[in-house]
Amino acid sequence: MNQFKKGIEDIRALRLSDEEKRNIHAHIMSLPLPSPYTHTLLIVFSRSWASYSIASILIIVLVGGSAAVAAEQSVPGDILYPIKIKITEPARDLLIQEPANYARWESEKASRRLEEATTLAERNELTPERSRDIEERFQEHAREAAEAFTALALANGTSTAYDVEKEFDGSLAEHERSLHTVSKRNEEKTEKDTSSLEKKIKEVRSKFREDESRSRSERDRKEGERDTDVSDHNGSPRQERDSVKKVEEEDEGNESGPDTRKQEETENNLKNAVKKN
Amino acid sequence: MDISTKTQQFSDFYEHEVDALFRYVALRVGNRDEVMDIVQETFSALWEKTVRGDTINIPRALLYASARNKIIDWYRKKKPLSLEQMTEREEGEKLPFDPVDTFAESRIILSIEATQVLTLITALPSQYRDAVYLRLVEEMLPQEISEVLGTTAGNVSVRITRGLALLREQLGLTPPRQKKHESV
Repeated sequence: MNQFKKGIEDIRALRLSDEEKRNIHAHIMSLPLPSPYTHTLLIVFSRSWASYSIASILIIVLVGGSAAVAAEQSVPGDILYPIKIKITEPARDLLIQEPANYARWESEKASRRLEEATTLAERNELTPERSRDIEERFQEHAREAAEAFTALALANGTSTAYDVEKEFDGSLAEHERSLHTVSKRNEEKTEKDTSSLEKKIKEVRSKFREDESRSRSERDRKEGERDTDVSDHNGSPRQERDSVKKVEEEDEGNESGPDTRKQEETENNLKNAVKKN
Repeated sequence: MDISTKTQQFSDFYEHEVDALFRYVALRVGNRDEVMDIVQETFSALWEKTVRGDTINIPRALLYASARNKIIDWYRKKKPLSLEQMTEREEGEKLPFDPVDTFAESRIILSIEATQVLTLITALPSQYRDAVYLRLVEEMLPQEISEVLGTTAGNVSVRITRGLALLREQLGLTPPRQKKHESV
């Protein structure tokens, strides 16, 4: 135990030399005195973890926010375009949860690529490389949109999915027209670049139409089966409606019949009474 | 409080604490020059806070806590931790560091007894190590240690008690207990 105490005393004997102490002290005292307002005015330069966090968030919000807003308007070839494609749009992917909104967003992304193509074509800057890049992205978004429509149909029913799909088809048709108009206006080179993209739009639209007609026929078939099942027991809805109408008419007839007869009887009674008198 | 009073108070505090802080850092960081740098940076940070008029409840605890963070930073830069070491970390503990691992390669000369004591302390579970060292060697109070380690005084007392019990077992003063010590 004495050895243990001696060991602790020996550790405590571990010291700096006087010269080392003086050097460190002198160095600290030679430092410029910090302003008492430093931590309130310049929070960014404070060394605490919280200050760094606040400063980082502010920088991201101010710089990143304005960059993100500017990036939304960018087209392929712009410096901020990668931010739009790789940061802002994937960020929105994560934020959207509701199936209908997600399907709309997926179709909007495809429309955005077409808008970019139109803008570039208007500027006569739609090079073959950019056109190919946009085509690839458009096809990818169209595929994702188709998946989102399927998911929406399963979640919210086919009618909601059909509405969103119809909106998308309308948007595609509009973009197809505007792209065609711009390419006609521009020189032949540009027209050649957009024609491929227009072809892709047509393909996507025709595919959606096929899917739509398939799903509609499927829906009709299912409804037909349901109607048949019901008619086995109670008749089809139309037959049911007809029969209800018939019964109502009969009821009306029955209701009006006794009244008429009663009135005739009353009139006859009155005539007989007059004759007797 | 004017600047001359602050300077005097800081100088007195420096004179009183610099050796203890040097020990604390030197036993964890091998290179003497790096030890001097950490000691200087730690006191400089405290001086800045003093001049700015920041509220400092326990200056001694703040000093050790600041030094501890700087040592952890030094370890991070020196040797990246393996996944195994990271997963073995105790909850609430920032990073493990081992005095014996480094002081042997430094220019700091220790007696056999001092080396044995440090070896025993280092052999303790990581959650007891710092609390026992600061209590035994620097004679800090549980309240001060709790400020350094970022935990409660009660928790520190438990760590010290259990750590000392383990030390006694290692020294053969008490028979080893059957039950494994639970982490605090």
